[in-house]
Amino acid sequence: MSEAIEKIRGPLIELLPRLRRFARNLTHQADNADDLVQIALERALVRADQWDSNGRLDSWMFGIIRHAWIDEVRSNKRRGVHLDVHELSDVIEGSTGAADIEVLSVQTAMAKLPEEQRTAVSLVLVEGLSYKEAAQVMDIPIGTLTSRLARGREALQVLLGGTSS
Amino acid sequence: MNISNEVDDDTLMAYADGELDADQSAKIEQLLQRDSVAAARVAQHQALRSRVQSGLSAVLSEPVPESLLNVLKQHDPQSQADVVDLMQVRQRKSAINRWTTREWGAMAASLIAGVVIGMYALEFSPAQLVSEQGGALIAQGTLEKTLTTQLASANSGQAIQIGISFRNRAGKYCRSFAVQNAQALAGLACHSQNNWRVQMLTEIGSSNSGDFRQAGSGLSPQVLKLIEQQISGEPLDASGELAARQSGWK
Repeated sequence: MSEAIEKIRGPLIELLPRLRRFARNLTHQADNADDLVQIALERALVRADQWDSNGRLDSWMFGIIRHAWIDEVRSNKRRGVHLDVHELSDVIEGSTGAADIEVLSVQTAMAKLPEEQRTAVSLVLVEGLSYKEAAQVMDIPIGTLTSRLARGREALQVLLGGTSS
Repeated sequence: MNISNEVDDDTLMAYADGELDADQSAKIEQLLQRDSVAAARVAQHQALRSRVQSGLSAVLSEPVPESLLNVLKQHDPQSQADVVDLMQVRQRKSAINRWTTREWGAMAASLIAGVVIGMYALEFSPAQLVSEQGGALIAQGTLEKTLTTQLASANSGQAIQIGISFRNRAGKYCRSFAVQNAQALAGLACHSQNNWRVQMLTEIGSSNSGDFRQAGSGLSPQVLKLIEQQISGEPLDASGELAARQSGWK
Protein backbone atom coordinates (compact mmCIF):
# COMPACT_ATOMS: atom_id res chain seq x y z
CA MET A 1 0.00 0.00 0.00
CA SER A 2 2.78 2.44 0.76
CA GLU A 3 3.90 1.74 -2.80
CA ALA A 4 0.52 2.97 -4.02
CA ILE A 5 0.96 6.10 -1.92
CA GLU A 6 4.40 6.71 -3.33
CA LYS A 7 2.93 6.52 -6.79
CA ILE A 8 0.41 9.31 -6.26
CA ARG A 9 2.20 11.56 -3.78
CA GLY A 10 4.18 13.59 -6.32
CA PRO A 11 1.29 13.91 -8.79
CA LEU A 12 -1.01 14.97 -5.92
CA ILE A 13 1.37 17.74 -4.91
CA GLU A 14 1.31 18.96 -8.49
CA LEU A 15 -2.48 18.79 -8.55
CA LEU A 16 -2.96 20.78 -5.33
CA PRO A 17 -3.60 24.15 -6.99
CA ARG A 18 -6.29 22.62 -9.19
CA LEU A 19 -7.81 20.65 -6.33
CA ARG A 20 -8.05 23.88 -4.36
CA ARG A 21 -9.67 25.60 -7.32
CA PHE A 22 -12.27 22.87 -7.76
CA ALA A 23 -13.04 22.82 -4.03
CA ARG A 24 -13.33 26.58 -3.92
CA ASN A 25 -15.68 26.64 -6.87
CA LEU A 26 -17.73 23.98 -5.13
CA THR A 27 -17.89 25.64 -1.70
CA HIS A 28 -17.30 29.38 -2.39
CA GLN A 29 -15.22 29.68 0.74
CA ALA A 30 -11.48 29.52 0.83
CA ASP A 31 -11.30 28.06 4.34
CA ASN A 32 -13.96 25.46 3.71
CA ALA A 33 -12.37 24.62 0.41
CA ASP A 34 -8.94 23.97 1.87
CA ASP A 35 -10.44 21.86 4.66
CA LEU A 36 -12.25 19.91 2.01
CA VAL A 37 -9.06 19.36 0.03
CA GLN A 38 -7.34 18.22 3.21
CA ILE A 39 -10.08 15.66 3.92
CA ALA A 40 -9.95 14.48 0.32
CA LEU A 41 -6.16 14.10 0.41
CA GLU A 42 -6.37 12.04 3.58
CA ARG A 43 -9.02 9.83 2.05
CA ALA A 44 -7.01 9.48 -1.14
CA LEU A 45 -3.92 8.36 0.74
CA VAL A 46 -5.89 5.77 2.67
CA ARG A 47 -7.39 4.45 -0.55
CA ALA A 48 -4.36 4.99 -2.75
CA ASP A 49 -4.44 1.36 -3.89
CA GLN A 50 -7.94 1.93 -5.31
CA TRP A 51 -6.75 4.43 -7.86
CA ASP A 52 -6.71 2.96 -11.34
CA SER A 53 -3.36 4.10 -12.66
CA ASN A 54 -4.77 4.00 -16.20
CA GLY A 55 -7.32 6.65 -15.24
CA ARG A 56 -6.88 10.33 -14.55
CA LEU A 57 -5.76 11.20 -11.07
CA ASP A 58 -7.45 14.60 -11.24
CA SER A 59 -10.84 13.04 -12.06
CA TRP A 60 -10.44 10.56 -9.23
CA MET A 61 -9.60 13.36 -6.81
CA PHE A 62 -12.49 15.55 -7.99
CA GLY A 63 -14.83 12.65 -7.25
CA ILE A 64 -13.38 12.28 -3.75
CA ILE A 65 -13.67 16.03 -3.13
CA ARG A 66 -17.26 16.01 -4.33
CA HIS A 67 -18.16 13.13 -2.03
CA ALA A 68 -16.35 14.77 0.88
CA TRP A 69 -18.37 17.93 0.26
CA ILE A 70 -21.64 16.01 0.18
CA ASP A 71 -20.67 14.33 3.47
CA GLU A 72 -19.66 17.65 4.97
CA VAL A 73 -22.93 19.35 4.09
CA ARG A 74 -24.83 16.36 5.45
CA SER A 75 -22.97 16.12 8.74
CA ASN A 76 -23.14 19.85 9.31
CA LYS A 77 -26.87 19.63 8.92
CA ARG A 78 -26.90 16.84 11.49
CA ARG A 79 -24.78 18.93 13.87
CA GLY A 80 -27.09 21.86 13.32
CA VAL A 81 -24.46 23.91 11.56
CA HIS A 82 -26.04 25.84 8.78
CA LEU A 83 -23.96 25.31 5.72
CA ASP A 84 -26.33 25.77 2.88
CA VAL A 85 -24.72 26.55 -0.43
CA HIS A 86 -27.30 29.13 -1.33
CA GLU A 87 -26.65 30.81 1.98
CA LEU A 88 -22.96 30.88 1.21
CA SER A 89 -23.47 32.22 -2.23
CA ASP A 90 -23.41 35.80 -1.02
CA VAL A 91 -20.17 35.28 0.85
CA ILE A 92 -17.59 35.52 -1.85
CA GLU A 93 -14.16 35.01 -0.47
CA GLY A 94 -11.91 37.88 -1.44
CA SER A 95 -8.72 36.22 -0.26
CA THR A 96 -6.83 37.06 -3.43
CA GLY A 97 -7.16 40.72 -2.55
CA ALA A 98 -7.53 41.49 -6.21
CA ALA A 99 -10.15 44.14 -6.73
CA ASP A 100 -11.01 42.54 -9.97
CA ILE A 101 -14.59 43.26 -10.90
CA GLU A 102 -14.57 40.68 -13.65
CA VAL A 103 -13.39 37.96 -11.28
CA LEU A 104 -15.97 38.95 -8.70
CA SER A 105 -18.79 39.01 -11.19
CA VAL A 106 -17.93 35.57 -12.52
CA GLN A 107 -17.64 34.18 -8.99
CA THR A 108 -20.92 35.76 -7.97
CA ALA A 109 -22.72 34.45 -11.03
CA MET A 110 -21.27 30.99 -10.44
CA ALA A 111 -22.39 31.04 -6.81
CA LYS A 112 -25.97 31.60 -7.91
CA LEU A 113 -26.12 28.37 -9.87
CA PRO A 114 -27.70 25.29 -8.34
CA GLU A 115 -24.99 22.99 -7.05
CA GLU A 116 -25.41 20.33 -9.73
CA GLN A 117 -24.97 22.90 -12.52
CA ARG A 118 -22.06 24.54 -10.75
CA THR A 119 -20.28 21.21 -10.43
CA ALA A 120 -20.79 20.45 -14.12
CA VAL A 121 -19.51 23.91 -15.12
CA SER A 122 -16.50 23.55 -12.79
CA LEU A 123 -15.51 20.17 -14.14
CA VAL A 124 -15.93 20.90 -17.85
CA LEU A 125 -15.31 24.61 -18.33
CA VAL A 126 -12.82 25.24 -15.54
CA GLU A 127 -11.04 21.92 -15.07
CA GLY A 128 -11.23 20.94 -18.71
CA LEU A 129 -12.62 17.44 -18.25
CA SER A 130 -14.42 15.82 -21.15
CA TYR A 131 -18.17 15.31 -20.85
CA LYS A 132 -17.57 11.62 -20.24
CA GLU A 133 -15.03 12.21 -17.49
CA ALA A 134 -17.21 14.83 -15.81
CA ALA A 135 -20.24 12.52 -15.93
CA GLN A 136 -18.16 9.80 -14.24
CA VAL A 137 -17.03 12.17 -11.49
CA MET A 138 -20.65 13.15 -10.84
CA ASP A 139 -21.97 9.56 -11.14
CA ILE A 140 -24.54 10.60 -13.72
CA PRO A 141 -25.29 9.65 -17.34
CA ILE A 142 -23.62 11.79 -19.97
CA GLY A 143 -27.00 13.17 -21.17
CA THR A 144 -27.72 14.45 -17.67
CA LEU A 145 -24.31 16.05 -17.57
CA THR A 146 -24.79 17.86 -20.86
CA SER A 147 -28.20 19.17 -19.86
CA ARG A 148 -26.83 20.47 -16.53
CA LEU A 149 -23.93 22.02 -18.35
CA ALA A 150 -26.21 23.65 -20.92
CA ARG A 151 -28.52 25.03 -18.23
CA GLY A 152 -25.57 26.25 -16.17
CA ARG A 153 -24.12 27.98 -19.19
CA GLU A 154 -27.42 29.57 -20.08
CA ALA A 155 -27.81 30.91 -16.55
CA LEU A 156 -24.25 32.28 -16.51
CA GLN A 157 -24.82 33.94 -19.86
CA VAL A 158 -27.89 35.71 -18.47
CA LEU A 159 -26.18 36.65 -15.18
CA LEU A 160 -23.01 37.88 -16.81
CA GLY A 161 -24.61 39.47 -19.84
CA GLY A 162 -22.46 41.61 -22.04
CA THR A 163 -20.45 38.72 -23.46
CA SER A 164 -19.41 39.18 -27.00
CA SER A 165 -21.90 37.49 -29.27
CA MET B 1 -33.24 25.29 -27.96
CA ASN B 2 -32.56 25.36 -31.65
CA ILE B 3 -30.30 28.16 -32.73
CA SER B 4 -30.14 27.11 -36.32
CA ASN B 5 -32.42 25.07 -38.53
CA GLU B 6 -29.68 22.58 -39.16
CA VAL B 7 -28.18 21.95 -35.77
CA ASP B 8 -29.27 22.01 -32.15
CA ASP B 9 -27.60 24.08 -29.50
CA ASP B 10 -26.25 21.05 -27.63
CA THR B 11 -24.26 20.13 -30.73
CA LEU B 12 -22.86 23.65 -31.03
CA MET B 13 -21.96 23.54 -27.36
CA ALA B 14 -20.26 20.18 -27.79
CA TYR B 15 -18.35 21.59 -30.76
CA ALA B 16 -17.25 24.61 -28.73
CA ASP B 17 -16.06 22.25 -25.99
CA GLY B 18 -14.08 20.10 -28.40
CA GLU B 19 -16.32 17.09 -27.82
CA LEU B 20 -17.09 16.23 -31.45
CA ASP B 21 -15.07 13.81 -33.53
CA ALA B 22 -13.25 14.92 -36.66
CA ASP B 23 -16.15 14.19 -39.03
CA GLN B 24 -18.74 15.93 -36.90
CA SER B 25 -16.43 18.89 -36.37
CA ALA B 26 -15.83 19.23 -40.09
CA LYS B 27 -19.59 19.32 -40.70
CA ILE B 28 -20.08 22.01 -38.08
CA GLU B 29 -17.19 24.02 -39.48
CA GLN B 30 -18.86 23.97 -42.90
CA LEU B 31 -22.13 25.06 -41.35
CA LEU B 32 -20.44 27.90 -39.47
CA GLN B 33 -19.14 29.29 -42.76
CA ARG B 34 -22.66 29.96 -43.99
CA ASP B 35 -24.71 30.27 -40.81
CA SER B 36 -23.72 33.42 -38.98
CA VAL B 37 -26.22 32.82 -36.17
CA ALA B 38 -24.69 29.43 -35.41
CA ALA B 39 -21.18 30.90 -35.69
CA ALA B 40 -22.08 33.64 -33.23
CA ARG B 41 -23.48 31.05 -30.87
CA VAL B 42 -20.27 29.00 -30.97
CA ALA B 43 -18.25 32.15 -30.34
CA GLN B 44 -20.52 32.93 -27.39
CA HIS B 45 -20.01 29.45 -25.94
CA GLN B 46 -16.25 29.76 -26.32
CA ALA B 47 -16.15 33.27 -24.89
CA LEU B 48 -18.14 32.17 -21.85
CA ARG B 49 -15.85 29.21 -21.39
CA SER B 50 -12.71 31.33 -21.32
CA ARG B 51 -14.40 33.96 -19.19
CA VAL B 52 -15.57 31.46 -16.60
CA GLN B 53 -12.22 29.77 -16.55
CA SER B 54 -10.19 32.90 -16.05
CA GLY B 55 -12.68 34.24 -13.52
CA LEU B 56 -12.50 31.12 -11.38
CA SER B 57 -8.79 30.40 -11.46
CA ALA B 58 -7.31 33.06 -9.19
CA VAL B 59 -6.53 30.39 -6.60
CA LEU B 60 -4.00 28.82 -8.94
CA SER B 61 -1.60 31.67 -8.37
CA GLU B 62 -1.94 31.58 -4.59
CA PRO B 63 0.64 29.73 -2.51
CA VAL B 64 -0.51 26.29 -1.44
CA PRO B 65 -1.01 26.22 2.35
CA GLU B 66 1.58 24.25 4.30
CA SER B 67 -1.24 22.35 6.00
CA LEU B 68 -2.13 20.70 2.71
CA LEU B 69 1.45 19.92 1.81
CA ASN B 70 1.93 18.44 5.27
CA VAL B 71 -0.86 15.94 4.69
CA LEU B 72 1.12 14.53 1.83
CA LYS B 73 4.44 14.90 3.58
CA GLN B 74 3.49 13.17 6.81
CA HIS B 75 2.98 9.91 5.03
CA ASP B 76 6.54 10.00 3.83
CA PRO B 77 9.01 7.86 5.75
CA GLN B 78 11.84 9.96 4.35
CA SER B 79 10.38 13.41 4.27
CA GLN B 80 13.57 14.84 2.84
CA ALA B 81 12.60 13.26 -0.42
CA ASP B 82 9.80 15.78 -0.82
CA VAL B 83 11.96 18.87 -0.87
CA VAL B 84 12.28 18.93 -4.62
CA ASP B 85 8.55 18.55 -5.10
CA LEU B 86 7.73 21.26 -2.60
CA MET B 87 10.02 23.63 -4.40
CA GLN B 88 8.30 22.75 -7.62
CA VAL B 89 4.96 23.58 -6.06
CA ARG B 90 6.22 26.94 -4.90
CA GLN B 91 7.55 27.67 -8.32
CA ARG B 92 4.19 26.81 -9.74
CA LYS B 93 2.68 29.71 -7.86
CA SER B 94 3.27 31.73 -10.93
CA ALA B 95 1.12 30.60 -13.82
CA ILE B 96 3.76 31.88 -16.21
CA ASN B 97 6.67 29.95 -14.76
CA ARG B 98 4.68 26.81 -14.80
CA TRP B 99 7.58 24.62 -15.66
CA THR B 100 10.76 24.40 -13.67
CA THR B 101 14.19 24.54 -15.14
CA ARG B 102 14.53 20.84 -14.49
CA GLU B 103 11.41 20.02 -16.46
CA TRP B 104 12.44 22.32 -19.27
CA GLY B 105 15.82 20.64 -19.35
CA ALA B 106 14.08 17.29 -19.65
CA MET B 107 11.81 18.61 -22.36
CA ALA B 108 14.68 20.15 -24.29
CA ALA B 109 16.54 16.86 -24.07
CA SER B 110 13.54 14.93 -25.34
CA LEU B 111 13.08 17.43 -28.17
CA ILE B 112 16.65 17.03 -29.24
CA ALA B 113 16.23 13.25 -29.11
CA GLY B 114 13.14 13.69 -31.28
CA VAL B 115 15.15 15.67 -33.78
CA VAL B 116 17.60 12.85 -34.31
CA ILE B 117 14.79 10.39 -34.95
CA GLY B 118 12.59 12.64 -37.03
CA MET B 119 15.05 14.93 -38.78
CA TYR B 120 14.62 13.64 -42.29
CA ALA B 121 10.87 14.20 -42.11
CA LEU B 122 10.99 17.74 -40.77
CA GLU B 123 11.33 20.93 -42.68
CA PHE B 124 11.74 22.60 -39.30
CA SER B 125 13.22 20.60 -36.49
CA PRO B 126 12.51 21.78 -32.94
CA ALA B 127 16.19 22.70 -32.64
CA GLN B 128 15.75 25.15 -35.54
CA LEU B 129 12.74 26.72 -33.91
CA VAL B 130 13.92 27.10 -30.34
CA SER B 131 17.07 27.27 -28.30
CA GLU B 132 17.47 26.69 -24.62
CA GLN B 133 18.63 29.67 -22.58
CA GLY B 134 18.82 29.45 -18.83
CA GLY B 135 16.23 26.71 -18.66
CA ALA B 136 13.73 28.47 -20.91
CA LEU B 137 13.04 27.70 -24.54
CA ILE B 138 13.46 30.82 -26.66
CA ALA B 139 11.99 31.07 -30.17
CA GLN B 140 14.60 31.60 -32.86
CA GLY B 141 14.88 31.85 -36.64
CA THR B 142 11.68 31.62 -38.62
CA LEU B 143 9.60 31.01 -35.53
CA GLU B 144 10.91 34.14 -33.83
CA LYS B 145 10.28 36.18 -36.96
CA THR B 146 6.79 34.72 -37.45
CA LEU B 147 5.77 35.42 -33.86
CA THR B 148 7.02 38.98 -34.10
CA THR B 149 5.69 39.96 -37.51
CA GLN B 150 3.00 37.63 -38.84
CA LEU B 151 -0.67 38.42 -38.37
CA ALA B 152 -3.11 35.53 -38.20
CA SER B 153 -4.81 36.99 -41.28
CA ALA B 154 -1.58 36.51 -43.24
CA ASN B 155 -1.11 32.82 -42.46
CA SER B 156 -1.92 31.68 -45.95
CA GLY B 157 1.05 29.99 -47.58
CA GLN B 158 3.34 30.45 -44.59
CA ALA B 159 5.28 27.58 -43.08
CA ILE B 160 4.29 28.62 -39.58
CA GLN B 161 0.70 29.56 -38.82
CA ILE B 162 -0.34 31.90 -36.08
CA GLY B 163 -3.38 30.84 -34.04
CA ILE B 164 -4.69 32.83 -31.12
CA SER B 165 -3.02 35.94 -29.74
CA PHE B 166 -3.90 37.08 -26.24
CA ARG B 167 -2.64 38.68 -23.07
CA ASN B 168 -1.83 36.37 -20.19
CA ARG B 169 -2.51 37.18 -16.57
CA ALA B 170 0.83 38.87 -16.18
CA GLY B 171 -0.13 41.20 -19.04
CA LYS B 172 2.34 39.64 -21.51
CA TYR B 173 1.33 38.93 -25.06
CA CYS B 174 1.17 35.26 -26.01
CA ARG B 175 0.55 33.63 -29.38
CA SER B 176 -0.22 30.07 -30.32
CA PHE B 177 1.33 28.71 -33.49
CA ALA B 178 1.45 25.61 -35.64
CA VAL B 179 4.30 24.39 -37.81
CA GLN B 180 3.11 22.59 -40.91
CA ASN B 181 5.72 19.89 -41.04
CA ALA B 182 5.31 16.28 -42.04
CA GLN B 183 5.35 15.91 -38.26
CA ALA B 184 3.17 18.90 -37.40
CA LEU B 185 4.03 20.85 -34.26
CA ALA B 186 1.85 23.15 -32.20
CA GLY B 187 2.95 25.50 -29.49
CA LEU B 188 2.47 28.58 -27.43
CA ALA B 189 4.94 31.40 -26.89
CA CYS B 190 4.77 34.47 -24.67
CA HIS B 191 6.69 37.67 -25.24
CA SER B 192 9.20 38.50 -22.56
CA GLN B 193 11.43 41.53 -22.80
CA ASN B 194 13.09 41.03 -26.17
CA ASN B 195 12.30 37.46 -26.98
CA TRP B 196 9.53 34.90 -27.20
CA ARG B 197 9.54 32.25 -24.51
CA VAL B 198 8.06 29.05 -25.81
CA GLN B 199 5.72 27.71 -23.13
CA MET B 200 4.87 24.56 -25.00
CA LEU B 201 5.95 22.85 -28.18
CA THR B 202 4.21 19.63 -28.94
CA GLU B 203 3.88 17.22 -31.83
CA ILE B 204 0.34 16.98 -33.08
CA GLY B 205 0.67 13.84 -35.08
CA SER B 206 0.19 13.04 -38.72
CA SER B 207 -2.60 14.40 -40.87
CA ASN B 208 -4.49 11.14 -40.31
CA SER B 209 -5.01 11.77 -36.65
CA GLY B 210 -8.05 13.55 -35.30
CA ASP B 211 -5.90 16.14 -33.61
CA PHE B 212 -4.67 17.51 -36.88
CA ARG B 213 -7.95 19.12 -37.78
CA GLN B 214 -7.14 22.01 -35.51
CA ALA B 215 -3.52 22.31 -36.51
CA GLY B 216 -4.19 25.19 -38.85
CA SER B 217 -5.07 27.41 -35.95
CA GLY B 218 -2.39 26.01 -33.67
CA LEU B 219 -5.08 24.61 -31.41
CA SER B 220 -3.93 21.22 -30.31
CA PRO B 221 -5.87 20.13 -27.21
CA GLN B 222 -2.76 20.58 -25.04
CA VAL B 223 -2.09 24.07 -26.39
CA LEU B 224 -5.75 24.99 -26.02
CA LYS B 225 -5.66 23.88 -22.42
CA LEU B 226 -2.59 25.95 -21.72
CA ILE B 227 -4.21 28.98 -23.35
CA GLU B 228 -7.26 28.52 -21.17
CA GLN B 229 -5.05 28.42 -18.11
CA GLN B 230 -3.13 31.54 -19.02
CA ILE B 231 -5.50 33.83 -20.88
CA SER B 232 -6.75 37.00 -19.27
CA GLY B 233 -9.93 38.25 -20.91
CA GLU B 234 -10.66 37.65 -24.55
CA PRO B 235 -8.30 36.71 -27.37
CA LEU B 236 -7.09 39.65 -29.47
CA ASP B 237 -9.11 40.40 -32.58
CA ALA B 238 -7.44 41.47 -35.82
CA SER B 239 -7.10 45.10 -34.81
CA GLY B 240 -5.84 44.18 -31.35
CA GLU B 241 -3.26 41.91 -32.93
CA LEU B 242 -2.13 44.69 -35.25
CA ALA B 243 -1.87 47.18 -32.39
CA ALA B 244 0.13 44.70 -30.32
CA ARG B 245 2.54 44.15 -33.19
CA GLN B 246 2.97 47.89 -33.64
CA SER B 247 3.83 48.26 -29.98
CA GLY B 248 6.47 45.56 -30.29
CA TRP B 249 4.37 43.14 -28.19
CA LYS B 250 5.10 45.17 -25.08
